[in-house]
Amino acid sequence: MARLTLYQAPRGKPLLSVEKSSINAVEAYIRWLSVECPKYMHIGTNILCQQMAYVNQSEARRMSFGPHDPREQNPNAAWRLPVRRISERYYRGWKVKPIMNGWMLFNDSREAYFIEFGISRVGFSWAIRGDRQERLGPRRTPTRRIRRPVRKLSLIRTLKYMASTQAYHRIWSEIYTTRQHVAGFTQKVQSPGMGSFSGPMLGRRLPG
Amino acid sequence: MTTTYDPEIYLESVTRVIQEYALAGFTRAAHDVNGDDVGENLYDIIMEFPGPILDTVKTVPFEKTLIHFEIDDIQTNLLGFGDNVFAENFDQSSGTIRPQEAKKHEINFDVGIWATDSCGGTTARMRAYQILNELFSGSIATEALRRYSNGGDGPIDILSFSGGRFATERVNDIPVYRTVNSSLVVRCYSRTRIPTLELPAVMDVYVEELTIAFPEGEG
Repeated sequence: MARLTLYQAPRGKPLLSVEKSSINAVEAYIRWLSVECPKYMHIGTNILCQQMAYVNQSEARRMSFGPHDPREQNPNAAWRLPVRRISERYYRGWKVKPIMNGWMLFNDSREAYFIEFGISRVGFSWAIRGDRQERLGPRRTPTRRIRRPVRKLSLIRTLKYMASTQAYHRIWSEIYTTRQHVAGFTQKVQSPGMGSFSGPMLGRRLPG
Repeated sequence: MTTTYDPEIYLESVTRVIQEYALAGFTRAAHDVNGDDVGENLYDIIMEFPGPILDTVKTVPFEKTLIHFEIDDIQTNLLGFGDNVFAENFDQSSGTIRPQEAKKHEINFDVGIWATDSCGGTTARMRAYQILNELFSGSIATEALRRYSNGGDGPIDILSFSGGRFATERVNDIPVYRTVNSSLVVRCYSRTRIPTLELPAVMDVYVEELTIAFPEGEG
């Protein structure tokens, strides 16, 4: 059983923790850059974005570290936050990577999309007999459809965390800048079918 | 009679006002041959994630396009300094006060559209998405909701309406056209009810006139 690891360490660089003092130090660094060498201010804002992404990752991982239940024997833990760990892929799937204009928090597990948007295989093996809805066949299907917006809530918690640091005024300005700006903050959820404009046909691509 | 915003039951009234405002907007968005508003026959507004509704095979495919609003987060801030009392409600006869506190709330809704082929498919989804944008996005929409919600005791402000991505999934093997990842953030101000408990008021403070005595010859 895994222990709660809030941060995925960058390659080759161990990361202990992002504290408020870390954010405040980065803010002080940005202020120093803005006076001494404004040409390189984007370096400081990039570090700030990276730290924010790690805070976001830690919040998402906290909400994904529910009871460990590999055999699915604890139905009381289902459909709740924090998310129950059956395979642990969802919890381990929260990762941070650099993108062109900033940093991205993402989850590369297949179930992330379903958990975030409340999409599930409800009703595949059910049918109406008379007035009753009965189950057909041995195939296990979820009996409820509940969305657990871990990504959205973790971002809201991240912003609340940032509001308690000295860099919050800068976060306001950076969130609303365009992607063409030097630095920004991005969050995406990758659909399991790799998506298109109209999105994947989810029901057809689920594992059997 | 429509609901208006009541600061003493802020969450209940915000939820109901938004539901009625959205339903009124969607009702106006469709007309029959006589020019009457018939949108309520095409759209349904529900104030929760429609999981339990969709979980029974009897309800899918649904005949009306569903639009759901679900509260994801409420950020509450106290107003004022010190003890945060904004109205003391002083009673001169008894010399007591019954203080009230005020708070600011930013309520974050998840907004989604659900359509099946029997209620119009992707066309219904596109229409609903556009109507939602007209109702909640932009300064005209902000002012419209302020007027709709204000019954003389404060309005509801739209702070943002953003996001929205189309996804198609299958419920009970039937394609359902959804819009996911939309957020509506509204702001309102609430106050606590006037308490029954009466507290003693700080009455007038009298400062006796100071008399400063100087040693002789130094005044």
